[in-house]
Order: sequence, then structure tokens, then C-alpha cells
Amino acid sequence: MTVGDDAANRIAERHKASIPSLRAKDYKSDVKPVWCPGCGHFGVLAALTKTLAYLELPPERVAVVSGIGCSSRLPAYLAVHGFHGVHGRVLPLATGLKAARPELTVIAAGGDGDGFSIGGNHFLHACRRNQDLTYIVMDNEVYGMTKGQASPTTQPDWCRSKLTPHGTGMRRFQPAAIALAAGASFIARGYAGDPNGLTRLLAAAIEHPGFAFVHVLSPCRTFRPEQQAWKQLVHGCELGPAHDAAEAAELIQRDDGLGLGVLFEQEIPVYTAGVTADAADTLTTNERLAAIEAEHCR
Amino acid sequence: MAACGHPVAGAGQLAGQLQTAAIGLADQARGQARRVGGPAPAAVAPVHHAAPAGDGPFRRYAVTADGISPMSVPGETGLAYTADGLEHDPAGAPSSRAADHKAQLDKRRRKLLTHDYGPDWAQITGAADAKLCLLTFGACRGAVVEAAGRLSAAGLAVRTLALRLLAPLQQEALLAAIGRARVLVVEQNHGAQLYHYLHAEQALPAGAHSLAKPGPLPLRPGEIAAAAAALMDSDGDSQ
Amino acid sequence: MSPPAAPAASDTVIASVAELLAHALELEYASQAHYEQLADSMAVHHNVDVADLFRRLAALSGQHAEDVAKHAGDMTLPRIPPWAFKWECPDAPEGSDCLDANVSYQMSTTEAIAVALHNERRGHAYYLHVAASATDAEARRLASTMAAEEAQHVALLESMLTAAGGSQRSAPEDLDPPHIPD
Repeated sequence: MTVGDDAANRIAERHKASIPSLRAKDYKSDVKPVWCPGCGHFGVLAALTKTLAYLELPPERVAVVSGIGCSSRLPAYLAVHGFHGVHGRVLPLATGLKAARPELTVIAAGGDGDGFSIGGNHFLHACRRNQDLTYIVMDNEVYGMTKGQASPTTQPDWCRSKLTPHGTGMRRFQPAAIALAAGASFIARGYAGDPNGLTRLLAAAIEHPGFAFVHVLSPCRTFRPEQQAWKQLVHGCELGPAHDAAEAAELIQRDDGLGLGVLFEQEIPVYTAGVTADAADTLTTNERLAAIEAEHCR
Repeated sequence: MAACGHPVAGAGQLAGQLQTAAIGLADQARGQARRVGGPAPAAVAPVHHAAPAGDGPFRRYAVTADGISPMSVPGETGLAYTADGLEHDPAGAPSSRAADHKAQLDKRRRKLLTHDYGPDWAQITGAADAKLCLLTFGACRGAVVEAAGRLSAAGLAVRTLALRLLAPLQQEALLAAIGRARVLVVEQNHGAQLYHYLHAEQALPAGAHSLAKPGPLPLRPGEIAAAAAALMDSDGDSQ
Repeated sequence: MSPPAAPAASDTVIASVAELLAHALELEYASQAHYEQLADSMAVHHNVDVADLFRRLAALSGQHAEDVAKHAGDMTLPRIPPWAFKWECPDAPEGSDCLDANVSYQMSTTEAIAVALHNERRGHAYYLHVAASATDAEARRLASTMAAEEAQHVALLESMLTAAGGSQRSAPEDLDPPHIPD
């Protein structure tokens, strides 16, 4: 080894010291996503990996579980523990895992069809149970994996599927309003085209003690190309977050469904399976994130 | 309630050893009930091949001789993996390669076929040299055992055999347990599913008979005993 | 009670060399990740030429990140939450638009170069912005240097675009296209 090599190694060591120990790429697996190029879910994947890196959660202490659908492919693309489960059953999986291993960070992920149609009943009861879970729903208002059928969140007059040539004629499922009515203690809405804004919501959701529902508008490049217009239509939900359910109900109902941010947040008892909550659970989400930031900047 | 404890504990045990899930089904009435029972049978530690440390991805689904692959639990550094619902390669990445599908399917079959299920594959009563074997499974066992008691009291030696493991069918053990006895397959369904399944698996001696009855009324010991007696009588007539 | 607010519009001025380097590092990492993601997508959809192009661009961004890290040396960079970077647009300039409207699994090399050019131009514009607005003189000087480097990449891609312009091939046949009735 030459003197020059020594110097280069010393410099390399110093680089390590000045650069965060965990980066977003450390949470990505080697599996290549099968999503269409331009799919919104890439934005969610990027936001989630950045969030996990920022929170410095060790990959082996994080579990991401999913159901079935395009978005439910997410766990395979992450280098954390994953379970790609059964259609609509992501929340039962997450519930069982969190009950058995409360010290893990458990994140449930899926799409609008998986979560609001076949999994709709699980959604209601997960909201009211208030386990310490984060549930990310990537909503593109269509069943993409089965090539473009109307989902619960599709507009009643969307008629671009042969199965609904005149639209479904049914009112849309209202994820945020239903989560609120079912008793969720944290409700946020994000947009996949703004991954950095989404990291803020995901960090808050993961740090929230209780069931945190993050509704992500995630455009389908292939079957809903008109959703590219969301980029111009989404807007910050300036009035949130509400801490009172009645205020939240008004906020959510008055919003056009494209308002981004934390819509509702409430500190209520967390359901645990006979395990005492740790002391950190007495902090608010804001206090927890502030503590993390202070630790990083020390 | 107490009778549920043993199969539930056993199923959990089996699931742990075979790295799979157990699904418990109970009557609705029992599903809503609570009772504190005695301790479950002591569990045997699941088989775990040591997870090799090294570079490259953790090969959670490595192909092994006994079909049991290395398995980590969350929290073990460097051994995180995704349990994918799609067919996958040894590292767990979804795969559409025919070779991966075959290798993983063969591995799972090996795991199930070579496992030692022990004596719990069936519940057996009565002497090995009994003239008649009442073969059943599931909830019919109670009525079958009661019918056997009545027949024995009337002088007919009867063996009962209630299968607990339907698949992989322990065919050799089943044929050995039946011995030279006449067989009446007793089950509560319209199509005689168990009878046909056992025939398809070539696990019944020639001349086995079927007593199959759909619900909603449960099979009663009296009708089982009557059917068994009629079978033995006709057998006597034909000889 | 609420999560930390996004940075105010007025709080987008770079104030030190360390802060600039933290932003440059994030920008190049995001750019690298973005190109790798596009390359992987194209590989999955058997668009080999475009996958190779994005792979080369990812390597270039990775080299830039290395250069930035070397420049940082033993300097301690600020740890910035991903939502608090001082970008002029919602995401890192070169790493934005996972949803780029112009990206398709059937895209040609020419179209791919155009997407990359768009990103590199935004990166260039970002460094020019910092060179003009940073409150620290050394940061302004460094941003100018970085802007000049980015300008070279822009020029490289522009020349690639010119060279490829004449050989635009038709989209490859898709044997299993998305089913969308007209």
C-alpha cells in the first residue's frame, strides 16, 4: 500500500463520518419494480425509503406488509422484513404482527381496491382499534394489476373500462371521512408526485402513537393518464391538522379531496396486547420528530 | 372446549416446524366462548437451519434436502427478507422461471412428505384383531366411538379409527391399522367425500362400505351401530 | 402537535458551503436513484437500449456524488430532514418527477435523452440560483463551479440529442399492451 492509498482511505473514512450512516438506498432491495415507468408508486417507494433513512430505523426492525395489487408489490422492493399477503388482508397481517412483536415498526401498504373494497371491513376496525401501525394506501382510483377496472374510489361516470361502459353510477368511497368516522387517530393525505412532502407525512405517521392512515394520491400512468393533471390540482390543506373530530369532519368534507397534509391528529390510548407503552409514547408526534432532529443536529 | 386445546396447540406446533400457517376453525358457538384450560402440551422447538452470514441476499428459501429452509425473525441484523405471495427464487424475489417454480414446489412437497407426524395422525380405539373398523374423521368421532361401545357390548369387537391428518395421507399406517377388519367409512356429508378420497389414494381394502349422511341432523350412534350390524349381517349372509 | 411545517418560501436561501454541499449531495443521490429506477423499469420492460442509457446516467450522477463527498472532506454536513431541503421545486431538481409525463416503457433513446436533459437543465438552474442567492461568498463561488460542471452535462446531452435525432426508431411492438378501450 502506498502513502497515497493511506491518504485516500483516511479521506474515505472522514466522508463516512460526515455523511448519514443510513441512506435511502440502504432500504431498497435488488428486486426491480415491475411498475410501469412513470407510476406514482415509485414516488411512494422513494419517500418511504428516505423517511426510514431519516428516522434511522434499522432495516431489520421494520416490517412492511401488503395485500395484492400493483402497490402491494412494495415490500419486495424494500430491504426490510416484508410480507406480500392476500388480497385485502394487509391489516389483519399487520395487526397480528404488531400484537406479537410490538417493538417492530409495522407499516401496512396497499392500494384503493385492496384496502377499500375487499379489505374495507378490516380498514374500519383497524381505525377504531388504534394499534400503533402506519397504513399507506396508494390510491389511483383503478384496479391496475387486472388491467384497469373501476375501484371504490373511481368517479361514478368513469367509463373507460369495458366492464363499466357507462360508469359505475355509484358514489365514491371517501377514505379520509370514513377513517375519521371509524375512529382513526391520525389521517393525512399526500401526493406521490411530491415525494419530499410525502416524507414529512410518513415521518409524522410512523412517529404517531396509534393507527396512522396516510392516503396517497398515486397516479396510474397507464390506465388513468388523466391523473397526470393532479400535479397542478393538488394543494396544501392549510387549515389542518384538526385535533377535534367535529372540526376534522368539516375540514375533510369542505376539502376537494386533493388537499395535502395532516388532516387530523389525536392522542388517544393505543391498543397493545398486554404490553406497556414505552415512555416515548407520552410525547406528541411533533415532540418526537423535534427530538429526532435535535439528535441528528447535535 | 378442552378438546379444542390439543388440536390447536398441535396445529401451532406443526406450523412452527413446517414454517407455515395454521388455520383454526371452530363451531360458531365455541368461537364466541372463553375458558381457561390446562397448559398446552409442551412445544418442540421448530427446526431452524442456521442462517448463513455472508454477502449477497439472505437465501430464505434455499433449496434443502429436508425441505426446511433457513428462517430469520425480525430483528436479526442482515437477515431481513420479504415473504412473497408470488412464486420466488431462493432469495425470495418473485420469479416466473419454470425452474424456480419446480424447485420451490418440490421443496415444499419434500418438507410435507418427509416430516415425522408421529402417532397423532389418527385416534384409534379397540383391538387390532377386531372384525370391524369404523373409519371416520372430525366431529363424527364421538358418535362413532359411542356406536362402537354399543356394538362391543353386543358382542362384536370393533376398532375405531378417526383420521386427524388427511394429507399427506399416512397410507401404510392406515392399512396396517385396519388389518383384516371389514371397513365402514362414516362421515357427515352428502357425497361421501372421505370414502372417495381414501379409495382414490388406494388406502382402503376391497369391500369397504360407506355411511354418509348430510346435515343438518347429526349422525347418531344408533344409526351407525345399525348400519354396522347390517353390514356384518350381510357379510355373514354372503359367506 | 402537528408535524414540522414545510420550509417557508423565504427560507430557501443557502447560507454556507456545508449547507450547499449537503444539498448537492442529496441532489446527486436523488438523481442517481431516479436514473437507476428508470433503468430498472426499462430493463423489466425489455427496453434494453434505454435501460443502458439510464444506467450510464446513473453512474454519472454517482460519480458526481463521489466528487461532492470528496469536496466535503472532513467537513460536518448538516443533517437535513428530507422535507426541509431548500429546493425551488417540490423535489430535488434532478430527482423529481418519478411521474415524468414523458416516460413510457416504449420510449426511444431520443425521448430518454430529452427526459435526462430536462433534469440536468433543472440541476444547472438550481446551482445558478444558489450562485446568485447564497449569503456566503464561498458558497456562491462553489455553486458557480458546480453550475459550470452541470452546463457541461447539459451540453453533452444536447449533443447526444442532436446525434440521435435522425435515428428515431418506432416504438417496439408490444405483444401485451394495456387494455384501454377507446
